[in-house]
Amino acid sequence: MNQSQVKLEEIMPALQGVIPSIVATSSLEHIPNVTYISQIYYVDTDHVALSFQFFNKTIKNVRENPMLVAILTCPVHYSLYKLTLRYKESQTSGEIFDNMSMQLDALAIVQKKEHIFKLRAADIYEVISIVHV
Amino acid sequence: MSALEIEKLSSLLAESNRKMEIFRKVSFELNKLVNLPEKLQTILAILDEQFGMANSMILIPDHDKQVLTVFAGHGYDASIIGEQVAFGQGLIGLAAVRKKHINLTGIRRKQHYLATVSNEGDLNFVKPIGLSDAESQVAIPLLANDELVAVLMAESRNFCVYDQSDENFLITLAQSLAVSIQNSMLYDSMEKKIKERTAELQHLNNTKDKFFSIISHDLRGPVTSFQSLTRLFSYYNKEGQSDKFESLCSKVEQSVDTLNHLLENLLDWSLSQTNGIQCSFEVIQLREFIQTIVDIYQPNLIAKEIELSLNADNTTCIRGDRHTLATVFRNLISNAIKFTPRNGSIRISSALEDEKVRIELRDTGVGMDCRRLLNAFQLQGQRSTFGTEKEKGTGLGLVLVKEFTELNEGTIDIQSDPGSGTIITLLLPNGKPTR
Amino acid sequence: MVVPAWHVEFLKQPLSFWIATTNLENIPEPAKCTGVSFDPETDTFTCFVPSKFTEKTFKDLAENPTMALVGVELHTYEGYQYKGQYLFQRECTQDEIDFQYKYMKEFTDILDSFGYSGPGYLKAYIHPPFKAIIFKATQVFDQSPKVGTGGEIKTGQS
Repeated sequence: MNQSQVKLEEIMPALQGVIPSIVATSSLEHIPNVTYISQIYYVDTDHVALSFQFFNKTIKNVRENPMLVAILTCPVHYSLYKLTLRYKESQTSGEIFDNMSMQLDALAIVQKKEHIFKLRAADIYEVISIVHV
Repeated sequence: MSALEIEKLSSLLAESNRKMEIFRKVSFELNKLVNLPEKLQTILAILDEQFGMANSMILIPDHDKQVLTVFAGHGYDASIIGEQVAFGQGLIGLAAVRKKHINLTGIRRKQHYLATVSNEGDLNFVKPIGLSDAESQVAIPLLANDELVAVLMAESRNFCVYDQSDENFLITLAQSLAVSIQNSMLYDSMEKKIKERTAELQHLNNTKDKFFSIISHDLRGPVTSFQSLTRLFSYYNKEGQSDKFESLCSKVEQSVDTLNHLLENLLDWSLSQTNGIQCSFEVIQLREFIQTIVDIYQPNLIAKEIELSLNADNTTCIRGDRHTLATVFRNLISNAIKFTPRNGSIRISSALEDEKVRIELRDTGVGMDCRRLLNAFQLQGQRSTFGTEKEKGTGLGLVLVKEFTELNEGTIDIQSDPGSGTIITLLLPNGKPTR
Repeated sequence: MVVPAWHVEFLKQPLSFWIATTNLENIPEPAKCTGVSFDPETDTFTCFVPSKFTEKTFKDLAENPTMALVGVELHTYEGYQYKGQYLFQRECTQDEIDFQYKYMKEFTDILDSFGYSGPGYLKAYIHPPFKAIIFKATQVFDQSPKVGTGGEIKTGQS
């Protein structure tokens, strides 16, 4: 396994939501949880944002234990990247929330489903490490 | 510095140079003196060549109607120029409303996910303009002074990935595009306004010219005539030939009538040019109305031995403004008398026609040739014409008749042949509509 | 038995399978499965994972034998998560290796039909040698994306 550190800007294609990402969390009782997420959003060089609509267990785990590990697939080279993240905060307003919300709205409006899909919150995570798997 | 770092820096430098080159090309195009659509088409072509934006369009907003219209397009099979999208609708509409750029990739998977998750069956799209199977789209609002000037949208069937630096570059490029588009549109709008103002000024100038022409030519006649008459009065008085006074008085009366008629027309016309006419609509009994006007011209009819018959039902009514319609009929009857030779006839008749009343004035006058007929209602080139017995006019008569007929929601038609008389047909609103 | 009977057929499809483990410091670790087989008699899953991806997985399992497996259908996003106790790991048999290649071919063909690159996925995920990780399911959760998802499925329910 190639453990060389990678910068977030270097994996921008993987942060476009072309290929869904897998995220794993753990409860405080050491029970792992794994699920898919549609997109991990770039915030800045050290942060990403995740949005959850249906993944209750993941959110519950992260609120108790802030560590989350995600596997992203680059849609250009099909390389895998493992991101270790630490939950920082939830935002329900501000630029990041607005940008994520706009993307969801742009998709939902075309299907006339804007009443169904509304972004509840943008969860901000600090990037602890990125390795090329 | 390692070889890898050097390679990375070289790559960054090459990328920077590429973007500078795009800016240079786009700036060059923006400064060209060509029309805006052509300019924008060229810029979209440059973005394709340099950025791989194979399908792109620029939309201009109509803030009143809340829609955006495709102004320039590149890479589409059918012409999409003129297609519209509502504010807030889809990627383009959202970018317009929120004045923020949006970049979406993997659209079809995401759309499919939403459709599946919402349990509402398969995709239920609002038909997009552009590609129906786009995988990537980016919409950038072009803002100048925070005002939305246009939206640039690019899309692709492939997974196109723009990194942060690409996005920032496009946004910066968008600013210069925005300013250029705004300037072009301001320029076009100013040109249009200038043309309109010029036309307006030209019209006012013509009005002024006509006004002075009437004053200097047409009104001078009767005034000169008064001068001569007063001299004659003085002469006959000195000579003690008071028996000549009666014939002089009738000449004075004639001149006064002519002058009065001319002044009335001039005043009415001036008012109509300055929108000073206030219409007051009422139901008017047609026969009685026309008879009142005919009575004014009885002396003239008798003098020229012209027979005038009025064939209108007692119950027929029209709806209109009494004052302006009186001007219409005065001028028509006056003209008919003027251009009908001695012993001629004038027939006025009416008939109901659906919600209108058709009124026909038929005379056995000298008629009009094609040229006069064509210019009958035109102010330009109007020259006052003398009647069969040298009666004077201002050339304003028929111009006024048409204007006032239309003011009363009516229409006018003339048929005439030289030597065969003239038929004037008016269609005016029925004062007693059947509905 | 905790895994509903009808899941047997569901699990035979070319689903997207991932496992997750966690150490006692609660740092989780996901890993891609190149195939899964299920024994309904024992509620036991055999998860095939490229050795390349298992370094931390086995470290985690040595400390904490709890693990999770998610299987998601690619067209409908119907998905379930199986949690249970790790039993043991071993090398794959040749049949199991053949099974994995067959499964991955079917899996990547579906992705290819969506417009992704099947060969790209194969390159990303297929890395022999493979390990077989066996665990016994003790809980099943509904993972299909909908409001109220995440609920535990008790035997007898669909």
